[in-house]
Amino acid sequence: MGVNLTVGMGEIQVVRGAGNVLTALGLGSCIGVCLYDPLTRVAGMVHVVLPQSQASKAGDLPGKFADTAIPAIVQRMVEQGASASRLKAAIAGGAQLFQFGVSNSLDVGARNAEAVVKALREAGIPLQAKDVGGSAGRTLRLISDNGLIVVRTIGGAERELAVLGNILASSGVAA
Amino acid sequence: MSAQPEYAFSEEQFDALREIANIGMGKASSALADLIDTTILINVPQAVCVPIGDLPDILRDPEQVTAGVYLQVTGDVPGHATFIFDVQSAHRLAGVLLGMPEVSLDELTASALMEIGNIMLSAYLTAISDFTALQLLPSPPVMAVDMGAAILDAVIANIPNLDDFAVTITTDIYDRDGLISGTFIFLPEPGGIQRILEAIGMG
Repeated sequence: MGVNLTVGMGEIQVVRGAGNVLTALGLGSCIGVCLYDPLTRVAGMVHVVLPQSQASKAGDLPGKFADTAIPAIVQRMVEQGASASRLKAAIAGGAQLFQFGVSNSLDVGARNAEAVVKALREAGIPLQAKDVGGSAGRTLRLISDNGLIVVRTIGGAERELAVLGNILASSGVAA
Repeated sequence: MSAQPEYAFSEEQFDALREIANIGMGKASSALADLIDTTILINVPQAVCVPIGDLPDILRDPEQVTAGVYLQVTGDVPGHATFIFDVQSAHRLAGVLLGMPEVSLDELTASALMEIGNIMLSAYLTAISDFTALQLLPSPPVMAVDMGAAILDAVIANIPNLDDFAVTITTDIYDRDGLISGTFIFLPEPGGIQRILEAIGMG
């Protein structure tokens, strides 16, 4: 039986096999990071809230910060049988919802996106697709059957962002 | 950084926070009632400590389209105050204020809504300030129309030293005819709760 899990702020969820769905509801300036191993169908999502953990304490949720979230979710996925070298990523979120009277220094969304991209690069995980920035919140879903990523904004239908399990479209996987 | 986790507060202390929220909401709701000439009711405020991942549970439907007015609080109790109303209420409130029966959410109605939110949030903070003799200074408000969860998400991401748990003080507000409903959410930053409690001799 597949599960349908919601990924709240700072949370990491990892599932294995087909039939599972991971969802981050209403991403504002936060970023939903989807990782997928096409071979084992280990799928993971983390809901990153802030760019850096400089002021973090021991015991802090690693999923809260971009720099700690990526290593933590990779480890969780490897524990579930994924290979770190096969992982592919897609990200969504990082909007700036509040449009009036907000200075650029408050644009956490853009800083989050930057920090997540950097953390993925450092982990050597190819970023297959991203839907970041703008001013609208997003709901992000990852379907574990084939690594399908869909994004929905208000007033819009769900649209496909990527299929991380599409081996033909990727160069990083040896068939 | 916080000296102690907020979830260590006692039930009596949470009761005191609810009472203070009640005082604030009394002022905020009468400010709205004066503005639109309708009786406004509030429910019993909730004060709870929840994992940040569970915060959207405050909302009845996290994906529902809402209008959110948000301001940052500085001074003795740094925190984050947000008023979220469903989009039908937002239309209705703006329509009443602007003297038009049907409005769409354009720039004019957005600024009217932002002003309503600002008046209510300021009334709330001033009442708490008067009661505790602490300074709660509101920043200029900002507004967004989006999924309720996305608005909360954007507010939370403005808390730089975010803990894994957050104390939220929430109150639902509505009118008797079921035409207007909204939720007030006050999120004090770590340490802010302690200062409120100390100010009223409950620390």
